[in-house]
Amino acid sequence: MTVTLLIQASNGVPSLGLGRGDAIVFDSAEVEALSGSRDYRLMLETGLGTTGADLSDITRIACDIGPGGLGVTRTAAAFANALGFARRIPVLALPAFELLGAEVARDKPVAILRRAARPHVHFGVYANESGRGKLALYEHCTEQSALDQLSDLEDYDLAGNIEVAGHATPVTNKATMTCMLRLALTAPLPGLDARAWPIVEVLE
Amino acid sequence: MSGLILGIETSCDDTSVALVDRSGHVAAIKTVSQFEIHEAFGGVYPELASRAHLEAILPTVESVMAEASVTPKDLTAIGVTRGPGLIGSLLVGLASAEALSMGWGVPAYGVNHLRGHIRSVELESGRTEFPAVIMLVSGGHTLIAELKDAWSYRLLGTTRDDSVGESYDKVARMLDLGMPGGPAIDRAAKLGTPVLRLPRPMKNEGYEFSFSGLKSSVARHIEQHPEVSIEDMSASFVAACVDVLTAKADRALAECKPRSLVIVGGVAASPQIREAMGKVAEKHAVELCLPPMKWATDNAAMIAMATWDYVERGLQPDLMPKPNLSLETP
Ligand SMILES: [Zn+2]
Repeated sequence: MTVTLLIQASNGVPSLGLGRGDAIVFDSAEVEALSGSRDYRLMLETGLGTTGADLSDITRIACDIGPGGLGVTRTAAAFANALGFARRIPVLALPAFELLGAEVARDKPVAILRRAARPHVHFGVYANESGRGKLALYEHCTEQSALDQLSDLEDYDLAGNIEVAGHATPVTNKATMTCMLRLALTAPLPGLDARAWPIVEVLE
Repeated sequence: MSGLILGIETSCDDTSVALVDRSGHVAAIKTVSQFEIHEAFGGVYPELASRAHLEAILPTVESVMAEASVTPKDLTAIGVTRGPGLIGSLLVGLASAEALSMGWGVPAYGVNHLRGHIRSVELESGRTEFPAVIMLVSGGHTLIAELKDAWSYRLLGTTRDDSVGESYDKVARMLDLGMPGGPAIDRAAKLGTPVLRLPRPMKNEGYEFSFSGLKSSVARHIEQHPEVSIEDMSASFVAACVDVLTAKADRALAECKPRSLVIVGGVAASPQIREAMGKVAEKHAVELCLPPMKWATDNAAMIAMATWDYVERGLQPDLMPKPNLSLETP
């Protein structure tokens, strides 16, 4: 059975998962010895070792491309891209806000806010219409502009790492590996030379 | 030992990849410059540098491997700069090398960039007679060290503030000479006379360097003596730099009694410095080694060359970034 390698890092805490078919068989976040690790090789070798899989079983890599932590997202992409290049397998780029939206979405839109260089934030709205979610809006804007736009939304769930006054705290700032695998398996498979390019902030 | 080492250098603003064999023959090299990206900022913008490395690194690896008709099976190891350098830039090179190493089943070594500069002398059948005194003068580094052999180094001194290359660039900007500053100042200096008595910071004190005072002094003179020509100003500045650098080299040769004096780094391109160092070497009857200019600036061939030392000594591969790595740590 084919194995999917999943790398998520834009929330600032790198984690690596392995999916066999449509089931997660390894999640580095659940291994105490890998807590806080930024060593992707160690994470991957541990995952392959515990699941009995081989590097050659991996047929697709999915990498979180942010927006979020600049350095940590880029390092994850560098590792994912080079592994894809070396093994001749495609790297599927998954935007973090698609992941967070899919993770949190129930019956309301999901507003997502993540910190960027002040006074900016990353702001997104994930719409969950008829169970088929999509990111309806993404902006790198000032925090005030994001809050102004949010005040126009009737009701929403909140995700990310910024609190909004008068609203419940963000549900989460990280998608589960199960959610990530689902997105990776339902996305169209890109070409063999597809690579992950992080979503970057506009520098002023 | 046969085979090739794939060298990767991303410590600052150039993405460089090279293939080098044990004898120092460079089978292929490609360096992607970021000069145009950073030019508008008047210096390297770290965030943009690491973004550009991510975009350039794999196409550069692919291109170099294709040019030399090399497959991963031909590689003995991968060598990648782990420091000193900009953390974001180092991380892109290190993470990429780590994944290539895993994907290809080839060991990867984190290499000290400064050791790379020193080993650049050995590229393309260049040789160093040991023991040697080495001076590394560039935009990123200024240091002088004693090399007992190809592996054991003793750092004699380094700069307390600006590197000599940085002060060349800053003075070139003050004089509106454009970038890169070094060659422009050298050209102007050749047409001038060192009429100004600029300071020679720390010339008579040990092996430490300090160039920020010299740069400030040039700024003051430009303000106070608008009548002095750009050529004379440049000549005065270059004379001060040459004086300080040769004084340190002279002291090191007298103390260490080596067989050769090695000058590496981008500033070693300066004809004035080359000429002055030739005289110092002659005075002490030691051989002067000046690597060809293409190996004097940051490049991956020197990193690959240095990697052979790590491989042959059986060092544990260490791919942790070390932005402040010193010369004496492998
Ligand atoms: Zn350098």
